[in-house]
Amino acid sequence: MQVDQQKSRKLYEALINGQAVNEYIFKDSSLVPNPLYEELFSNFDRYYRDLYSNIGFELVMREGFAYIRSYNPDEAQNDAVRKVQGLLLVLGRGVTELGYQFELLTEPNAGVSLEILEQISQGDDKQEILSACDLKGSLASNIDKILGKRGIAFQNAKGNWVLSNAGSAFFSELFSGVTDS
Amino acid sequence: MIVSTDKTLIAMIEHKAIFLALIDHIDQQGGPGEVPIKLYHQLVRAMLEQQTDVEQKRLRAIFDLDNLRRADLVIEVDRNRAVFVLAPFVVDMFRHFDRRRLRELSSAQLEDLRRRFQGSLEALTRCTLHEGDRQFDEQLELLRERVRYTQAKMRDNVSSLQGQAERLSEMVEQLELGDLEQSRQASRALEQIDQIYRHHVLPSLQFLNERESLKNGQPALTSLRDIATLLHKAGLPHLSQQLRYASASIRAHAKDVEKIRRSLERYVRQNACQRLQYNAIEAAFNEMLQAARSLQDGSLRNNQLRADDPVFRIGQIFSGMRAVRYNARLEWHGHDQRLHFEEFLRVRVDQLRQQSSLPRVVELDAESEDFERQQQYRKEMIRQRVSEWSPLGDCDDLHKALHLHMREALPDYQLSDLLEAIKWCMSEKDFTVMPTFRQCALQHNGFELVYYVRALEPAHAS
Repeated sequence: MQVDQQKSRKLYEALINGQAVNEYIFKDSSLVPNPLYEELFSNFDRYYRDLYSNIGFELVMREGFAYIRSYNPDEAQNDAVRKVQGLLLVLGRGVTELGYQFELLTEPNAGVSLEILEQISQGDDKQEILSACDLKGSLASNIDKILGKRGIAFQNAKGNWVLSNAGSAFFSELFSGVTDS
Repeated sequence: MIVSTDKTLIAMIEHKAIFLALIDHIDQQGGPGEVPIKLYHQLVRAMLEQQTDVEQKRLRAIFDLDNLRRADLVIEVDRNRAVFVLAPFVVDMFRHFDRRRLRELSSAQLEDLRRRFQGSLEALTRCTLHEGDRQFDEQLELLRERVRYTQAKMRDNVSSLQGQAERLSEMVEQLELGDLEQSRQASRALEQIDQIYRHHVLPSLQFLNERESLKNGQPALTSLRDIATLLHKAGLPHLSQQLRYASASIRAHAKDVEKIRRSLERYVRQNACQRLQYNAIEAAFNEMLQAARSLQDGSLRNNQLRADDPVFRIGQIFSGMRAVRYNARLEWHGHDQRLHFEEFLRVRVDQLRQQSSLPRVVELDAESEDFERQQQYRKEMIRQRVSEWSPLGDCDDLHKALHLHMREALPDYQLSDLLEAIKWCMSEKDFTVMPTFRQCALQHNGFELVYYVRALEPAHAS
């Protein structure tokens, strides 16, 4: 498959800005395959891996999403990981603790509303975690600023927050860890 | 007022909603079947409010607890504890009106049924197998009763399981994820399904499996088969045949129960998965919370978790993810020739600058003696043409006047020659020039010379 120049540019724009490129994107009330991910996946070995390697990045393909990271091992555990994990755990714990099904977070037409976020952020333990992860401001604004901007979560037609492939992959990793142990 | 049992029963059936609600309460409590009198009165009062006055009076008499007690439809009324107990057959009757309210057979009940068949086998083994023998006839009749009872109970059991499975799975399927109450109901429904699966469906399948190996005794259907064999050997093939048919009819329920098991299996897995998810998130959250609290020493400083703290191992799925450094969109234009040219200039000019900054060896031979001689010769020619020239009349523009002369007099004249000519003119001729503070331009051979106009003093003009 030929490399699509336009898609390649869009991919660069997303990846260089620290965004994850997801396998599916939300469009017209449902999840549809992401043409950028398809482009990346189709030409990964032939083109993109070397392209990013040549400019100093490792193109990481995870199940359902991709992102770039520096080859420098010192940058592996950076602030982004801390903030993203802190937010995802607060979100997951808040939703399940309130009595909602976990699928509320992953179902594209459901999602976590601002009211639920408000309820979650009222928990002192949640505030402690947010503070320990250097997350200032409201839970909703942090989700927008960190998870939304990075493509780890998206807002559906109702304005509710739903986890993208990247966000769901975090929890899959967490659940598989429990199953394996 | 005393109302006869049949009329009371008819009225109860006509207003079965009250008793179905009471059965639901019994099932929820899971106790000995006691119903709070207060709840009963509430339900009766709500029903009476919708009736006419005459009807109210009649129904009040019928649904009076003392009347129900007299008709043996209620077996106990404990006013001290404010509870009463419905007669078991009444509960069973109402359960039959709605199969969803039928009771499943518990493990203990199934074990009781199994033991009964085993007891029959042991009793029949001990007695003389001969029709007309009193002991044999009694045992045979007891066995037939047990078979009938088991068939009925198993039928109810299957209906109940089907009903429960439908009701609970509907609850899970129709769940609106954003509705908290529905989510909680669905979680409870999944828990109930799990209970039914483990405590009713699997034991029922065990009961109906002839090859099930048990610690104590043998399966009920195996006992029935052994009895049939025993009777066949004793020369009673018709009785043996009857029992084989009965055994087959009980065994036939295995297919239905298996179908229920398969339909519930998905929900059982879903429940297990949900529990796992909840526990995993809770454990990870608590671990992080613990790590965060261990940093708190009251100083409100250094209470942030380090990015390399072990609690962030799950987040390593995003390890090294770049920071969002800027939000400005990168602009990728289409094919714009102007931009292409600018980019070419940017690169080329840089290259040229680099080249010009490099130290270079100048070859002296490049400027040959011949070249120098030619230069000298041309300068001499310019000097001669200038010395021949004298301005005509008033000259208010020295450059222009000299330019017009040189253009005619000097072969291959260029504007650069004019500059040389002006220099000679000023040094050799005794002109006095005056600035006029205006600018003019001369064009020749594709070049342009912009200059400040100078005029000659009239006195010296000759």
